[in-house]
Amino acid sequence: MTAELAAAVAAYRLPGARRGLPEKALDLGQWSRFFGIVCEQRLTGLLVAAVDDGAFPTTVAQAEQAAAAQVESMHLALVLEQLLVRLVDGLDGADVDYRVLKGPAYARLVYPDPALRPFGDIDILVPGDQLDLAATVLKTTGAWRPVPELRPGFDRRFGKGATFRTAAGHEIDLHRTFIFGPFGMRMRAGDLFISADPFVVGGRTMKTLTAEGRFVHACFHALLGSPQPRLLPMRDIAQIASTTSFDLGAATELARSWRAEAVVATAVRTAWRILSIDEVVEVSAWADRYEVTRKERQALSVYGHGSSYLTQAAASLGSIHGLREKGAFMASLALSPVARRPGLPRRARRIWDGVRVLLPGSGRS
Amino acid sequence: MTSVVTANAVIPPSGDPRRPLKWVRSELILWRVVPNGVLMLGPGDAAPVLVSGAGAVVWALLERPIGEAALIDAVADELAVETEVVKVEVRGFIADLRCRGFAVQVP
Repeated sequence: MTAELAAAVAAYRLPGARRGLPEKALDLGQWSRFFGIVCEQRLTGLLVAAVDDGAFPTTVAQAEQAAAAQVESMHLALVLEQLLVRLVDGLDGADVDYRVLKGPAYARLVYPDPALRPFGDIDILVPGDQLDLAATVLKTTGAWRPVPELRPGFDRRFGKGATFRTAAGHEIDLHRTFIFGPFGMRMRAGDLFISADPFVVGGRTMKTLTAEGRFVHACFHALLGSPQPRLLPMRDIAQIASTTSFDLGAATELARSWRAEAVVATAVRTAWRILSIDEVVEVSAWADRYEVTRKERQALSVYGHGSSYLTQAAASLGSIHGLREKGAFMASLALSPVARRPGLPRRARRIWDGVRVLLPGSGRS
Repeated sequence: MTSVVTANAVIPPSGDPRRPLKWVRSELILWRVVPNGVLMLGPGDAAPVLVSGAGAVVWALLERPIGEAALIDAVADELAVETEVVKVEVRGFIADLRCRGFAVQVP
């Protein structure tokens, strides 16, 4: 029951959302479970809005707990925005092109009040050939990389990007693509640097994806970003689709050119289902009409529950052009510590075995 | 940890009395409305500060440039009290905002 209630909070104020909020305050046990989900899913802004509107009855203690969690959440958002301003200054100073992704951009361009859209890290997309330079810029701000690159050049050729941490423990994700795996390999991230939408943080104008790019990215992130769909990314899709204006034809054309229409259609359907939205808008009608092929379903399945990095890597091979590139990709993985993990899925193990045969001197361990 | 802004300083007279300057939020400030006030963070600040009560009312009014007298009147209106009751508080708060770089003066 508490999970459904959290989904109802995630859908709060969305046109056509039919999940009901409680008619009286939850008892202690229910509240405790529900509030845990709300905090973990970063829904405190929407919960506080519902409580303030009188749509979600609470005890005084529950309302205070929600308010305190929201203050904490906004505290983090402001500190991250302060960091973002410094990062963008650095990237601009080094002539690195970039697009700010997700939280800070959605908070200001997609939601009517930025307090409704908390975020816990910074995500920045940079062109693949500027990834190393961008990483250097991040390091000059004191950020460091906890997980090293698999192999020199892997990130800018095949990787999703790189994760950095600041001394204060904040995470910065530098992206080359939206996602790892087959759909990440298919996308031509260069398309996203042709134009940009501006937004302002702390008096500084910065660049994010166009409205169409934001919508496609929201779908990628919500559907493929985690094995279990998370509520706030689903809300992002519905928020963009229902309350902002963008060119659906241009967005689906972008997805089509990346062979990723199935990602967008499935993500929209999933958002509409999880958030129980009745209202049919142009985007949801298109998603309902789209027929996902068997091949597309197969590609989507590598992002599902129980899938691993290597399974996604194995599935990526078909989307990498040229034997030389495929070979370089496989060689990078063969030297990767993740490939030596016990209990690899059978398909990934077959790929791994094949890689070792291809590599001179790579005997079985 | 979030700290709370408290200010009792009295704003010194400044500007041309014939054309009094107006106060407005600094665009460099990061801020969010939260349930019990407004969280604010300046470019060089280590942590956000929480402004609550009449301070949050002042912050809302500083969205557009506003003269000191008009600001005091508006706050008094909003809180339904006499101007004299809020005058010192508002002046002190504005002085604090200026010291922190949260509010600036414009013609």
